[in-house]
Amino acid sequence: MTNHLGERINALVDGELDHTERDRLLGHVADCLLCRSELDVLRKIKARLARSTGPEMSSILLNKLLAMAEPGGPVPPARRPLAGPSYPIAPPPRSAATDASGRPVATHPGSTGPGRPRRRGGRRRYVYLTGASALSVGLIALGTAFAAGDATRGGGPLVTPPVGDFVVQHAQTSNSVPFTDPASTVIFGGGYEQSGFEFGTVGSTVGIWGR
Amino acid sequence: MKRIGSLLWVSVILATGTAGLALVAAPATANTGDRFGDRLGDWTVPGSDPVALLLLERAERAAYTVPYSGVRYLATWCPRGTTSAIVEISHVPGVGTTVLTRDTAADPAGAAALAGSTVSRPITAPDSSRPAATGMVARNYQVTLAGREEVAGRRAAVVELRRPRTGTLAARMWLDSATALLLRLDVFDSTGATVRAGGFIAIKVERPEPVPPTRRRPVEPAAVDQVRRAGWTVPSELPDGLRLYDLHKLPGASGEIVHASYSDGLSTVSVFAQHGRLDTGGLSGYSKVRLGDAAVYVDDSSPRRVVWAADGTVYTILTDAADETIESVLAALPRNPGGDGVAARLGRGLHRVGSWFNPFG
Repeated sequence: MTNHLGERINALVDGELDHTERDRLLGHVADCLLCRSELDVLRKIKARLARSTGPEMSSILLNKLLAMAEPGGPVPPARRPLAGPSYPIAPPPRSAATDASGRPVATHPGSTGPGRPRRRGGRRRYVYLTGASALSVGLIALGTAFAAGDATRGGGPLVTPPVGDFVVQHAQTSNSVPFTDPASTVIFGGGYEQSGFEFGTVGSTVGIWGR
Repeated sequence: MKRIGSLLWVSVILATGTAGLALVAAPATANTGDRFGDRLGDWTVPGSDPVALLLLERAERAAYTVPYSGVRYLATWCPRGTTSAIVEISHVPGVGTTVLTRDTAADPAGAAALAGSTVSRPITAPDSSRPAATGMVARNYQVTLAGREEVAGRRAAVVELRRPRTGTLAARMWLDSATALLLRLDVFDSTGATVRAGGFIAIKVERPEPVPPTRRRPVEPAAVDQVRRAGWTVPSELPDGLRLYDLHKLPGASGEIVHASYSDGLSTVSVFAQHGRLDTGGLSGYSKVRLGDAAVYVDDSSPRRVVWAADGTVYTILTDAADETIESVLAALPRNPGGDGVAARLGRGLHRVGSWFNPFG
């Protein structure tokens, strides 16, 4: 195996070799059926890993988590801020490999660290879901407030002011102020209809006739 | 010279007038009071001409005691349009005044609306010792004599009313030299624009008749408090010198209606209040406008009608006052803050939703 690719096959698949080294290894792969087969298998595995998404949460686990959300103690502080440097929002690196237990591991310095679960996509969805929920609640609250703020809403019966009656009443009380124009209390203009309204609060009578 | 001329002229009035003789003995500043029905006194605006105030007292009594008939014109102006009418008017002391609209001009739409409405105005002769309207005018305006002119072929004294703070002309009155009857009246807003103008084109004055005085009781503070305790908003005063001079309740189809009347002696404002929500679909002929910071429904007929709702109460104002006075009155009465804007509506809605969850609300 010492003459075969060995550990360098990962670097070859990940494109981390310089031009000279890559040509030398590819020259070997061209003449070595074993290394060519191993290289093919490794490329397929990494391609599948790159396409795969995080594990789906089972409904049982989800229900248990929701049950934990019932009133209780304060929520512990997050271990890592969402905007922290350790969680760049980027696709998982293609260099991720698996250890003996099948967990993805980093293969070179600068990667996300050994043994870290690949759950960044799930956390991002959680952020999106929370934001969308908050936005929905806000929109519903504003819509409710807008509907409830209608000036015509409120308690009491629906009222159409009997303006014709009011005009008669206004004419009678305005008569107590002799410096108003006597003709200004004439009932004219749109909206007046004979109503048969009767009153006698000042001890006088007013008659209204329409032609 | 001007003052001497005025005094000589008033002497002629008093010599020829019959109803005014009794007023000569009454001093212009007798008692002091701040309720409707009290005569003018210490509240008189400084600078007023006592002779002009005496003339106003005569004019107030003449309105109830002098029989007349004639033809008058009336025109009103506001930023949204004008109304005008020519009316036949006859007044019989102790019986009433009949006004018959017979013609109109300037506004074809108004012409159709004006056709043929008549109203017999009630007579409420004042207590002979209490010239209430003159007191209100004297309290709010500086009253001076401004010369003599002719109206409808009759000699008349011109009396000017000015706003005490600005000195701007508020109204000009033409009072009949023989009877002190109000022959013509022009009213102006604070910018000098004419708000309304009316006067006789032709008039026939009969011999004045004695009319038994009808004591008009002032609004009792206890009665006002009782109405307020029932949840109604009834200010004792409104801006621009408007004072409460009449308050009573009316029966209404949807409940009790409170009618409060205000005046500064020159204009009148009736405020009607009834509990409920405003049915805007029933407001035929109204346009939704903004007066000051209030969104209201307005019908610019005569008298002008303004309708709005606030805090579960529907308010209706009827008035012959200018827009600027209506805006001041609206600012002093309950209304929806901010009108009907989105922000104001959201604010009302949040307040209302919050009250749903308030166990103490």
